[in-house]
Amino acid sequence: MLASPEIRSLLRRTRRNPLAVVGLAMVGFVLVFSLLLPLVLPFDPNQMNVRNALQPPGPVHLLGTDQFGRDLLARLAHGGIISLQVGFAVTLLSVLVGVGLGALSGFAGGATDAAIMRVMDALMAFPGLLLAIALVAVFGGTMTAIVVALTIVGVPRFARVVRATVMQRKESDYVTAAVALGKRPWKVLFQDILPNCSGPIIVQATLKFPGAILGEAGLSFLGLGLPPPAPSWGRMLQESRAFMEVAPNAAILSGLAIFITVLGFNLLGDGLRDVLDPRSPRSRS
Amino acid sequence: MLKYTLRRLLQLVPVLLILSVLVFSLLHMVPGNPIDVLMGEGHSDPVVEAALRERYGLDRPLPVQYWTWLTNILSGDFGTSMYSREPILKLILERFPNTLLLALASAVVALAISLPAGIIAALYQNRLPDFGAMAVALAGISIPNFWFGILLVLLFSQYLGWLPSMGYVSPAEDFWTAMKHLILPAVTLGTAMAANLTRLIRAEMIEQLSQDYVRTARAKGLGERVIVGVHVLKNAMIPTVTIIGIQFGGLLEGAVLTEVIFAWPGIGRLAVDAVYERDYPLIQGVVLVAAIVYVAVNLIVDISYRYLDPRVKLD
Repeated sequence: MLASPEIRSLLRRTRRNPLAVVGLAMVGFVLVFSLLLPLVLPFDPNQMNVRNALQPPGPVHLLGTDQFGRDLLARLAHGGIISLQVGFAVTLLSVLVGVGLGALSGFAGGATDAAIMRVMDALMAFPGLLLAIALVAVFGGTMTAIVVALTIVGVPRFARVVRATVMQRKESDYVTAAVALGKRPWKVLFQDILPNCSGPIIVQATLKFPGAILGEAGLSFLGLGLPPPAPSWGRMLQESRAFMEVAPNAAILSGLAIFITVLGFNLLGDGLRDVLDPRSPRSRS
Repeated sequence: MLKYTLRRLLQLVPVLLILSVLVFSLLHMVPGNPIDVLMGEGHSDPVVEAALRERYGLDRPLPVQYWTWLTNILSGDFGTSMYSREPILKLILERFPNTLLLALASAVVALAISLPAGIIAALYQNRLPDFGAMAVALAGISIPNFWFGILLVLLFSQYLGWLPSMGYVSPAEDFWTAMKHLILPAVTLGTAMAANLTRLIRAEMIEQLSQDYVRTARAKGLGERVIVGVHVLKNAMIPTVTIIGIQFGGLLEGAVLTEVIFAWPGIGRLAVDAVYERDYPLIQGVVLVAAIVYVAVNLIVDISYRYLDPRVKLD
């Protein structure tokens, strides 16, 4: 399924799309920054040294230190791990649940479809962050709670996109042929329909990833993310606000880290959408 | 028209019912006993517990509890806040106009940026102004709203000293001071919306510019200014209005963080404060009201579609 012609041609066209290439480069930078940099940095992200607090960038602490004298570069790099973990987990779960519900809805139709879609409609009526806040307030600020809350917020959009695509593909000739040949419905769904829905699913997933990272940053900015001393970017930004006048570097850098990560994934997602969707604004021109 | 409105209202009934079940379940999803939640941890008085159980109806089966809760809400009784002991509906109604003011001001900022940017990008499609506008829009979508707000405070309050960094003043009290307090929050929230809108307006303008009526207008010698300003823009605004409606949910969402940064006393901040106080009934109330408002706004947008574009078939 991974080596389907659709995916291979997708990879080829992605390489020719400047947006996607820039996005890919930025995502690569973020991955190296958060996954490899902590291996070579000599500082523990949670090691306090109050005498060394709020240092400006210098030769020892390249980006300076925070209010407890912790190395900012180390904290930013470790914060990246948290953001990427949340992004990855939420995207994966949203794809699994969203594709499952969407495929079921679009394929089964009728009452099943109506029931699933009404629940999705209801979930979509909640302002996403507000719902996530309420859920995290209920379940507490653990990684699982954050991931579950952001997934619940993210699933409806996936389900809708997949449902629409499945319904469209269901009418294709190759599906009619497969059904006529006497293939079982679930085999048709998994072997013929879903692999041909990979385009919209990939696009939606690349857009969900930055959304999840922004969501986690927003939650931890509100103090509802992982508890201290976890170096989450949102919390770092929140904590640095009190020292903004004397040491603006922490506030600027932690926000910049979120910004670069989200922008990279958005560029990649936008590029992929241009490649995959002939009706998207840019490729229509 | 009336038939369509009625049908849309009927379709909303199941959505609103599911929505209410979800919100009702919130309090019951809290790990442990709802009484622990209501009384706080470490209580040990069985008499008080029994009294609370009866008062909140927790001794009855869940469906009965839900029904009581729902009928209370339908009659306007959202319960009382556990923290301030005030009626929840009163707290929400007090704060709601502030959020509405912020949302409207943000929408004005968003349109002031996105209309010219989207039109210019479409007219100069695939040329420098277009790439510029699209790059800024993508950056605008990716920038964490709360970080942007903090940067604005850093620049306009701390370094330049032009605007207050936070707080709210009622426009009825002192209009100009109120406006000064409104600018930074509205710009913070408005730019986030502007980024999406710019992309949308551009796409719609491009779509409309390729239509036959534009060619006809050009062929009969109409000036480009009239074609774009009158015909194309009018048609491009139809889907834009829908998106503004959909974005309203995004505005409410963004309002949460914006209100916290600027200490703006709206419902977003009310919700966050409720979370800090573990005031679950209040969280329930705010979430429910926000969702209902969103559903209502989208209904109004759908119906207003008909007026903007008589060709739209409503079914």
